Amino acid sequence: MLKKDLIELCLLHLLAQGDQYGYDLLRRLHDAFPGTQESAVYALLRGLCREGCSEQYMGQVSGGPARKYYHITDGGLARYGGLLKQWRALAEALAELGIA
Amino acid sequence: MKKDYMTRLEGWARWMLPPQEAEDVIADYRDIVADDELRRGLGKPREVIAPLTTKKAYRVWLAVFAVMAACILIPADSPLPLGLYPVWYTLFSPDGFIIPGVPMFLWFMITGLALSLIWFRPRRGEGKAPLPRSILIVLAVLLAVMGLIWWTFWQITLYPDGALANPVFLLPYGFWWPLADIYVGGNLLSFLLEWSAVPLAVVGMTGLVKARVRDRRWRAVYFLSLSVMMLAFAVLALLTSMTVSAEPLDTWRLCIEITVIGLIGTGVSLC
Repeated sequence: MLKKDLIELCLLHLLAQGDQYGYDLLRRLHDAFPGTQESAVYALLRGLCREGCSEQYMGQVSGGPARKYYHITDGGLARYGGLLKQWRALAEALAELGIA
Repeated sequence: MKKDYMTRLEGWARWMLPPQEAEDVIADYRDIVADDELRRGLGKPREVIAPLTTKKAYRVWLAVFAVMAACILIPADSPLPLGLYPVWYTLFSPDGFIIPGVPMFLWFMITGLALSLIWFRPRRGEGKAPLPRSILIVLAVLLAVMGLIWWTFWQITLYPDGALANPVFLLPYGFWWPLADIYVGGNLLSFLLEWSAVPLAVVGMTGLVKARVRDRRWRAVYFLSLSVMMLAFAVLALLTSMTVSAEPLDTWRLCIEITVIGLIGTGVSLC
């Protein structure tokens, strides 16, 4: 599993919990992947949009400017399930080697 | 600093991405750039946008841009020292090119107009923003230049004797003669008509770039610059043609065609 897949898994996981806007997603991943450029994370987020795993819509925010929210699609949920399965298999394999 | 960064990022986004995607990305980055901690890890604006481009879509845009640019740059190349000197003659050759009898200038104008209208067409759900004042100012200047060329053509063809006696025409035919003699046609008028292509190409290219990165209605500036350039070349062709059969009547028809296509195209481009 590549680092790119891990970041995609995190993005899809956050989106599976609820719709979010781009800045919030990047802010939350900033600490988890300190050595990764924000623009690279954002490119993955846009890539998910292009592949139909997520979509954007204009949300209404009271007292602030309207923001575009990202929403996970059925295709995105399927991709999330696949990546999660890969991650669990990898975690189990690492645990068997004694890596906690 | 933040504002400067954001301005450059917006420019690159609109240049490299399709219009709707560019607006989505810009909206996201307004928040991201406002956060100092996140902005530090972003890199240069071009490097931020480049990974977001779809190579195929970007190459198609560059190809379309190259064709539109060629429509205005190839004719403008004519007066330059290493340029294709007799381009304007080919443009108005009665033999035509591609289709016999259809002069080349029409192909340049039609290609430039058609591509700019198709490529910078209004997007679905796009709001109608007020027309930027800067577009109106540039168009007004171009229309004034168009009027000046028409006035010159009018004087030359209808009152050739009067034109030579006119103080304005004394300048090209008298005062500047020693200097003008080294240029095409031996007079300052020909020189001005030919060299007007260079600033017109600069203005036209500015319109083309701004149509992509600012407001698509800048395409009107691109097209009117191209039309004015063709009008200047049509008059120049009459002044300097060595063809015995060259008639002012043909040039009248050419100038009217160019002006009508130019004005209609510019009007449509503003919609």
